[in-house]
Amino acid sequence: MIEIKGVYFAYDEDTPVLKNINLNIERGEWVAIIGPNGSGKSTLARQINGLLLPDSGNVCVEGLSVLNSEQLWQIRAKVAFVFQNPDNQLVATSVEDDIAFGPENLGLEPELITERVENALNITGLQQLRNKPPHLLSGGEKQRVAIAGALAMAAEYLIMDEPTSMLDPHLRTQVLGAVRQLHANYNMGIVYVTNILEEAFLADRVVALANGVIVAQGTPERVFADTTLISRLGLELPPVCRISSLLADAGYERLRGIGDLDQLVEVLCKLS
Amino acid sequence: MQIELTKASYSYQAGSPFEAPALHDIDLSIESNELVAIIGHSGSGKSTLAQLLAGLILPTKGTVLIDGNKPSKGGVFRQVGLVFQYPEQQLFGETIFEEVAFGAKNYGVPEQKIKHIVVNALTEVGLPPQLFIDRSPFSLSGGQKRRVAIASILAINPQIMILDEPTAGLDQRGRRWIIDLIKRLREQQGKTIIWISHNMEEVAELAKRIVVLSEGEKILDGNPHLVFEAEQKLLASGLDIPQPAQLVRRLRQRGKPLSAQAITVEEAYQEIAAWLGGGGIV
Repeated sequence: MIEIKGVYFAYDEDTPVLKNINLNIERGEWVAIIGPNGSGKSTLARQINGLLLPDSGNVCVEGLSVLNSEQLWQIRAKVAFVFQNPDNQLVATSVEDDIAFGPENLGLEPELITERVENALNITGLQQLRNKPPHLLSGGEKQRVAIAGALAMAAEYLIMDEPTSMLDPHLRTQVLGAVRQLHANYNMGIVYVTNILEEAFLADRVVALANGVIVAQGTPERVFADTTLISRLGLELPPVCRISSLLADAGYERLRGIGDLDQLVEVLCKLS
Repeated sequence: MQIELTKASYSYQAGSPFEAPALHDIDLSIESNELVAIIGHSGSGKSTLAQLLAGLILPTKGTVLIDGNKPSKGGVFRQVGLVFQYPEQQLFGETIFEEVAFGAKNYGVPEQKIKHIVVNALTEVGLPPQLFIDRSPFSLSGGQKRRVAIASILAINPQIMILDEPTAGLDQRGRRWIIDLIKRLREQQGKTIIWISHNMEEVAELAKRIVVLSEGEKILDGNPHLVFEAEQKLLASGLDIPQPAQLVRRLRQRGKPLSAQAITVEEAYQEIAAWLGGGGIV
């Protein structure tokens, strides 16, 4: 479990970015963190693997604390991070070397490394690209390499900071597909930072931040049914959700909160 | 100011064994004051087209003319301002003044006019000059940085503005702000706007004309209704139709009496409400 306990954080003293954040995330859970630009969501994500350390409060992963420098390294082996810009995190000269980089640093046996790299290539659909230099890949492929790296590390949690915001819709689907695999087959805990609410719908739980404070949390359906909150946050519901809430406002109350296209089609057909 | 591409092609590293064709035989003409959206999957040639239009690269075959002229001797079209994707990653000035003034200075605008131009450009993008002009651009939020980047293009006063994914990565408030700015630049200052996007919902709502690129070719060019009717063609080239249009289409397949013309949230809502209301259900 990830335990975020009473975390305060400021980049400069006058302007705290996180103010008393308390949040637990279970292994195998998929949590989306949403909020406008500047709400503190990326900062919060960076607390989880100690890229940034809390000014007060504590963050623990499986009982290990980020404030203990010995334990921090163990945490980093359990918690992988995928950044917004895919160019910021690829280090090796070929896809497979890049995926092997993490496990090699853990000092694993070569056979085990090979096995993990093969498996990661398979799961993320990158077999064909294994010998390619990462800089020749598309943005979506690069993000999948980063995700494959997390899998090869046998990370227990995957933190993603707006991993698809630089990708077109087609590549976005590819990346989300890889995340789903890791979540479903490896019981990985996913912390997914985004301001694209369509993607937040994939989560078990949505946590909404504004000005460094958690202002709402719950299932996507519940949080997104509160249209006042969403627009106060400066966010926009996905198109399907906007249509269902317009219809709900016009008297078709049972459509409220529906964000899935198939579901809306079915419910509408039953209505008429 | 008219843009005219005739059979324009571009290959990277042309003539070498590594030649990589990026655009093929593009015919495209854009009138003054139009707002045209260009969509296409990654690698379809959108950014190459933007660079051709800005005169940053020259076609390997065919011609690109603006008002009948080729790019000036320095190699660029001075009438065109190009705002790159994620322009905030390219900021370099020590102060916002320096950042915004850079392009105009390079174009030889006299020193005594520069201050005035910078103040105007910052005002236009909603950053009060007295508060911002001496600050470092790196102290700003992502959305503000992007506005500084746009201001530095406005400072060279281009008639034609090309914006590559200007709203990517911004939240709704930031996005809305950029969209309103671009509308204003077109309506009040008469600029021609070329908007590169992969957000189908945004494009459906804003553009009167959409050009679709796939594998370096222009495959569709027309109003949003016409373009989004070609669903199979769009899907085949890795694009999607806007969700409201998908919803309406699915309901039509189930025999519901909706107009295929509905492609935005508002239009889809109107169509569905009218259908449900007409059925006598409240």
